Amino acid sequence: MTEPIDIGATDKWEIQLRKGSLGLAVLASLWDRKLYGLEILRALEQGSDLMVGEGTIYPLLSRLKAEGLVQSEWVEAEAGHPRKYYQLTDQGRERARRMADVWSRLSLGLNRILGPLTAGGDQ
Amino acid sequence: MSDADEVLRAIDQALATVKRGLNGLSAAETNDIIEELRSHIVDRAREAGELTPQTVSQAIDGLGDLRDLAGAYAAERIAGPVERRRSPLWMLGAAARLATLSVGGFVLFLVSFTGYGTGISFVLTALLKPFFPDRTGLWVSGSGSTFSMHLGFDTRPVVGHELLGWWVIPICLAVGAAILWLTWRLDLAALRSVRKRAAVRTAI
Repeated sequence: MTEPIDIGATDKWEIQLRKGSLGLAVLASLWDRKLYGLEILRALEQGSDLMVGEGTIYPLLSRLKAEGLVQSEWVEAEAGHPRKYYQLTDQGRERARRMADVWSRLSLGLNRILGPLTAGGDQ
Repeated sequence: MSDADEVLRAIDQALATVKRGLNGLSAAETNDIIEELRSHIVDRAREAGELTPQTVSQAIDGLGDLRDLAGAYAAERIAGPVERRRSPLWMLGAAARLATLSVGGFVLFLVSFTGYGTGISFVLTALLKPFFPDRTGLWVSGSGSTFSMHLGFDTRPVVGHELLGWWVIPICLAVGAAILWLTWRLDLAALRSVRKRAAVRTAI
């Protein structure tokens, strides 16, 4: 008799995976432009499968700024209220490159192993 | 109350909830966070059309639990640098800031303060012994109900029998260093835990 599938454990794993990749995703979204918080959220939603809780992004940006990976400035927006824009620092660019390199190597290796799982379905 | 007044009131109430959870942060840090969230709420509400009580309410709900959000900010700003700044003095300062946020933070600060103070006292005793040999050490005096023990430095002549002699130097140095190290490790573990729990509460 097979064990029932533990959906909870898979969900928890997925949450950890998304959390772990969020920092890289935020740095990547700022690669060639300045964005404010809501723009970063929309960039992540449109450019990736990462649905980020809106309450998550700001403490994360605070952490990235404290680590010297991003810098911020307040800009008087056309909308009539100031917005806080973020951009990568040189250190942030270097970190993003290294993280992207690690991600690429890891995903290439994993994709090779996962080939039978994703190709043939249940066997 | 007009819609505009209701919108302003809703935003101010939400931000006041966040502000209450940012007790350990400076006024400048708090203001920076509050204004960024205000900007987010307004932009998010306008994405849905215009600033109405309904769109503002949805924008505020989108931020999730505001107390958890404040906790995540506070944890990040106070405990965040723990991987880069590990001096005992910095850790004690971080514990002092956490003490204003929660009972656990207060307990951590008390334990840290006591630990560092005790450790420093032992080390000071060891360092003072060569200069004040007759006033520094471990003494016992009396017997039965009047028994007393005194460890440390005294400005008055000490009455009683000295137990350790010059051994007080290596013993106090070792004990003091051990207490300081254990307190530092406790602070490191506690600050990492604070940061991790705050991150989990605002998880994707």
